[in-house]
Amino acid sequence: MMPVMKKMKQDTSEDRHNTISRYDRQIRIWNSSGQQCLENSNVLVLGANTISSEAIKNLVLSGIGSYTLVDSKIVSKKDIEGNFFVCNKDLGRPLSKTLVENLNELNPHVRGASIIQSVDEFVLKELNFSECNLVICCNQNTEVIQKVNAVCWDLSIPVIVCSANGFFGSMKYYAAQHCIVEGHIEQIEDMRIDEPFEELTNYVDSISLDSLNSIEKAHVPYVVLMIKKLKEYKNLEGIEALDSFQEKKSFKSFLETSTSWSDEENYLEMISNAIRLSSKYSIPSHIQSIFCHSCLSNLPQDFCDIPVKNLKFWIIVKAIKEFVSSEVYGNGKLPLIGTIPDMKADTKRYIELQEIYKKKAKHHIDIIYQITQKILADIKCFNVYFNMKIPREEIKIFCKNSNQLKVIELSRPKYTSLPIYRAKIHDLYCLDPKKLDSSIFESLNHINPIYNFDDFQSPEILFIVLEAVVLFKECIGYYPGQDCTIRDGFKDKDMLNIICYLICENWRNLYFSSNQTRSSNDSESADQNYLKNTADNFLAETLRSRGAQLHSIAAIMGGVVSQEAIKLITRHYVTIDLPAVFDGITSKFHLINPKRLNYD
Amino acid sequence: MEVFYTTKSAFDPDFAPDKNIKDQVAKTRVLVIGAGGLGCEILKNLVMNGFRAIDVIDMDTIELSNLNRQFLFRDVDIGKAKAITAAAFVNSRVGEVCVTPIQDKDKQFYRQFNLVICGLDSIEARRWVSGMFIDLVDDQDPTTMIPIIDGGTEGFRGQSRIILPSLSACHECSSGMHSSKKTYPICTISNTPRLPEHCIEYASVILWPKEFGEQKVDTDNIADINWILENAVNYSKKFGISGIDFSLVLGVLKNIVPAIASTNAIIAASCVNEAIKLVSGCNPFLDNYMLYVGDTGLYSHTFTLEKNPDCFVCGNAKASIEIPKSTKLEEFIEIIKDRFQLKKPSLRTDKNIYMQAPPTLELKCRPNLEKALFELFESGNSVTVTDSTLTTSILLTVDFAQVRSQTNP
Ligand SMILES: [Zn+2]
Repeated sequence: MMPVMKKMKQDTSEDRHNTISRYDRQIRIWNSSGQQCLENSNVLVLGANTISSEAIKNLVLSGIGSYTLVDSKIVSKKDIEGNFFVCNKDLGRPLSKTLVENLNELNPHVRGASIIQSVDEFVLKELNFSECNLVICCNQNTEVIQKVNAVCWDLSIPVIVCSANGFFGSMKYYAAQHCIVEGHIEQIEDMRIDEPFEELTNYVDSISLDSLNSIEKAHVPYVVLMIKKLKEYKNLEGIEALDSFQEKKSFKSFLETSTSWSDEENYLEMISNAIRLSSKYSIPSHIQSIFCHSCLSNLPQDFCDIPVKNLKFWIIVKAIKEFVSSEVYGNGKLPLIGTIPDMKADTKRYIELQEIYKKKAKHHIDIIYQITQKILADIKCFNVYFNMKIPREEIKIFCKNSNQLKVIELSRPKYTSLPIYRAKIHDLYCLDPKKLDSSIFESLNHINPIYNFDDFQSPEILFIVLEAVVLFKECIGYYPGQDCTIRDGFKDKDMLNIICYLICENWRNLYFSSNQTRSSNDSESADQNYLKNTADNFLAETLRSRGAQLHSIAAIMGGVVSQEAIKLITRHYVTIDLPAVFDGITSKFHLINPKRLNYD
Repeated sequence: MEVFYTTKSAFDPDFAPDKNIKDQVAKTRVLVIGAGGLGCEILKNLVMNGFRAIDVIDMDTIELSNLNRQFLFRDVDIGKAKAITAAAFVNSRVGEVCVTPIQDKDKQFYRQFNLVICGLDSIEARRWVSGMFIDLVDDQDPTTMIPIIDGGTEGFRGQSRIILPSLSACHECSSGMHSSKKTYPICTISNTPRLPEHCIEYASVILWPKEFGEQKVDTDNIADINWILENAVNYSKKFGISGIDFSLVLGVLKNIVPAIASTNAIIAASCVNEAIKLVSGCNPFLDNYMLYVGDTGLYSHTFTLEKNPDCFVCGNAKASIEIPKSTKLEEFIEIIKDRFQLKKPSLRTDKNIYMQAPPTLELKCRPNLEKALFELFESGNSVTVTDSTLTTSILLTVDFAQVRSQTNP
């Protein structure tokens, strides 16, 4: 009997169910909204190689809308050895086309195309990138990256740049502004225990603990208990709010000693949350700085400074800001998140309490929705063609995340001195080896380095070496190798060292200051020696690989590229805001924070 | 790749370059356990890094929800065996037989391997691996120590680690670091449900057995899931609880761990990166744990996880527990099942307390289940716990907790 009954309940909308099933394990991470962004996305990938294939593989599996891979290379023996998506029978075929064919197999919902043209030529054309949401450059030279950025920066299209060398990899990302609503950052629950809103106060006051028997008492949600106790404590101490950690600790010991039935679960929950949840309400400082952002200053009259894709974000932020500053609405507080965690309680009280928070939050959403509509109407007054709509559902998501909004802004790369470096490297390349001595280094001192670090340790050294390898390859035409010489007596190693010296101020100190300017003490020179030794090791290891792409490292870098791409496209989770390197010898990722990243 | 075998390493001066290393890597017998999200990536990375003698084991079949990350499978493969399909795909791509799918074999079979790489998602499977390869170690013969490289992911987070069985920390040494299935107390779900999850648990743990008896919920059958959904919703309406939908029911019933392609790719590649360094010696390998966090920026943390001397797989296997003396044996067994992640534990002191097998002995012990602990042994006694998931027994010291004083007003 039973199986027949079951059959009747079969889901009829098979297709819808199938797409949900395919992406089920990731929709649980970035929700349907993130999946929808992925399905609408279009990614441009420059350079056919193992990193790009691995990155595309992950993006295709995740269900991006479409992608285009640009490269003119022909499948070689080396590609077959290191890239899983080409095999022997592909030898001699166009690499980008072959890769796209094999990668498209991974997901019938994704459209992939190839352009068989060298990346250098491709970027020389009038570039029309407006169709794509993201550009990924794998193992490209600085000239290509510079040209891509020149176009994408103004269109506000993010660019991810990645390269690998032996056991090392690096990744950078460029975008003027990336706004994140759903950062999924762990937050302290928003329960307003310090300053309960009216409905909450009324509810708490309606529960008289003295009239309850011990079983009932044990089922009062701890939030109710804490609101009562905090009020009592503040009256007792004659204070307005708990500011310092010490004050919160005293409150906790007050709770611990002031009750006779403290072994009940709800009481224990109250005590364990006492320090976390008793603080005076304040808007997080990063949200306050978003409220002061220049993008808000000209709304609603003018919004031409705001990237189109972020306009909605700033309009809603403006509405929330108005809500917060209004005495009748927010009165200095953000909209209520409206959810409460599970806690020991009987069903009735828990649901009542949950409803109070939910109802208040819904009310706040309504107000902010109305403010938003007013702002939209105001913008329309100044610009008749403006017809953006913001549904209530989006306001709801915003309000739920209003204490964790994030704006990532990077400064524009200028590249003005890159040609000087390229010219200088070329000069050195042509130099008579007899003239190669330490005076070379001094002759470079008048050129400003690109990079300068407050803290120069092994991750920064690795970063500089990898940057230098890219410039070496670009200017000299091949990847530097151990025991290889540019000419008799002029080793690749020396050249690579000179490039590091050229681009990084700390490198200059490393090689010269210790015996010249500084009258160094012992520990300082020991540090210096250690760093110099580290630099030598990284140089040696990089030269060892001669540009060889290790599959495992390419797969790791392809993995992080796709991860950041997905975060950028879905606007869920927080992207990196600094360049990153991966050291495959120690298995560590490092974020690199140079003082100046501008190519001034 | 070869260039790293024939040149010196600045980071490991002891490495002796040798052109034969390439062959040695190719011939290294590697066992890959799991052909899922991590396993598919591990197999690809191994062959692309020159490994040619790989066995893969996985009992599962391919499902649609695997296809967002398990890239060796296509829509037409749904329902086929993972290990067989994955091996066939890799072999056809490489053009030679590098990967052999295998079924579970006896202990002797596993001695032939030089390296094990795991991409597993359950504590039980990990425990089996730890137990098996620690058991193979003969202290007199160093070749019996087979290194295990283990990867794991959850959403944007993951870890890769190297276990040298009996020498360094095993899976169980850190079992506190793995999250196990979330369970809800029966009294909460039946008396004071508050969350949608409570209602789903109630429907599956209380209502389902009432309706269908011994028959288990088949979480792969949409009709079964819908039955739970319907009953959970009905139950929740009584209390005004909202927020139950198909996806949540599935998540709770299957204990679904979110999984994405990018994290699997990163962790699997990190595992194989360690494998190359370990097998070839061309650079130092990880000692012994790398934690990866990709949800906020990009973060990794490497550290040496120390061996836990009290680990019940590789250590002295001692543990203690404090519990009220009136606890019934039946409840006690549930508690230790939960605490040590056991399946069907048997308990002995100097006499049999409860034995799962043979059936005659089980029958004889069964009345004990209803007894309170103090009727069976004394406070401070040691109970030997054995279970199919353990390679050795746990010596568990049981102390009777002081009963809370009721005299306070
Ligand atoms: Zn252990």
